[in-house]
Amino acid sequence: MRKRRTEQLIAQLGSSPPEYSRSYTSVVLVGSAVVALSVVLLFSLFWLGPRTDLAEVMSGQQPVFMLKLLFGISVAAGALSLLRDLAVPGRRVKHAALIVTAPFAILAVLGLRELLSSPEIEVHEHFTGSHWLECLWQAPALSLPVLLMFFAVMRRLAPTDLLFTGAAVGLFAGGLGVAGYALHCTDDSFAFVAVFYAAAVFEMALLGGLLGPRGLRWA
Amino acid sequence: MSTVNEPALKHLLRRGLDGDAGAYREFLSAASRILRQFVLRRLPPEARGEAEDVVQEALLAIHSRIYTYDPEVPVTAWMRAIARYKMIDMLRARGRNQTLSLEDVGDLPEPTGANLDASITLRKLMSALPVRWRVPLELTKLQGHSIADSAARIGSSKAAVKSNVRRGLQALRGLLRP
Repeated sequence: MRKRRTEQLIAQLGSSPPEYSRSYTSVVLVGSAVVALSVVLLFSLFWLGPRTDLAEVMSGQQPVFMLKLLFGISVAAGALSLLRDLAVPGRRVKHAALIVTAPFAILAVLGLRELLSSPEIEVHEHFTGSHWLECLWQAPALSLPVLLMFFAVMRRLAPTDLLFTGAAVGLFAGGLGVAGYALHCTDDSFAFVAVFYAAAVFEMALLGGLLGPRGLRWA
Repeated sequence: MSTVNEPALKHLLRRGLDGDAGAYREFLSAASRILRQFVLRRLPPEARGEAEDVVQEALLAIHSRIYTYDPEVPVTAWMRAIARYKMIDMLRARGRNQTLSLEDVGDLPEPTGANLDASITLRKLMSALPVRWRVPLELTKLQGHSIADSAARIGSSKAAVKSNVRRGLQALRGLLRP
């Protein structure tokens, strides 16, 4: 009898083949990413406020500032391509996972090189007097709306590995969050970015992974 | 029964998505056979009764989330991943709803001292309840049967059992209050 109900279901669904667009998943993800980026920019500029010399450092003479932006954006871009893979049932995650780890590796190398080349007394100056605590909560605070938004977006697609997908959403939100925080942050040392920016992103990945199995269920 | 191979299935789906309802129905029917086999082979024996439900859930998801289909991914791999997700979801929900039966628990310690008093008091109080509340309460709370199981035993609906258990508990609480 249950099998007969399956036949009925097939007859019912079969009477109207659904609309299909191949690019739907990508369009939804990229479109939402643009909205998310604007939200983060707005919050960063109006809530945290830009660093006073923003125009100056934007002109390209400040390598650490550029690195911060580049790090955040590339983590988010890598995570977005990871989400594209994860949203499609049966699709394997290929290079995306590698692309996401690359920015962390590059950052770690730059940070270590800076620490090793500076005299011992200077080393702790990279950290003390810095706004590390602000970085660790304000960057994730900027990420939080993005995390919530992308949980809703991913629920409309069809992720089958909810823990991994949650962590990837966290990485994406965290990447955008630190990019937004970079507009405000005046701690210009590679070592600082390598430790605290990376930690802020990890916080979000962890949060996303924890919430994923419950928050990403779709029916 | 997986006589339908990947290229044939892909072809049916493509024609279906181009608006050929007959081809789409044929695609769903082939999908249901593949998924039934897939699900039956993976479900633990005690959950095989739910296989058809999983197949139906998966078919619905295939239909409503067709836009997550990616021509780069084999159609069979895509629908199996969906069925696998639905299967895990069902097993989780089952795990949450299942109450332990007495056989699973083994021998419970005999009530002694204060517990014994409580146990006697409870039974005395319960005997004061009308049968329609007492029986569902005994089945679910004392003997540990699930709501569905108790409903089947009494021959009533799950909703009725649930509401009678609730009323019974409320009445008990009223009796306990001095």
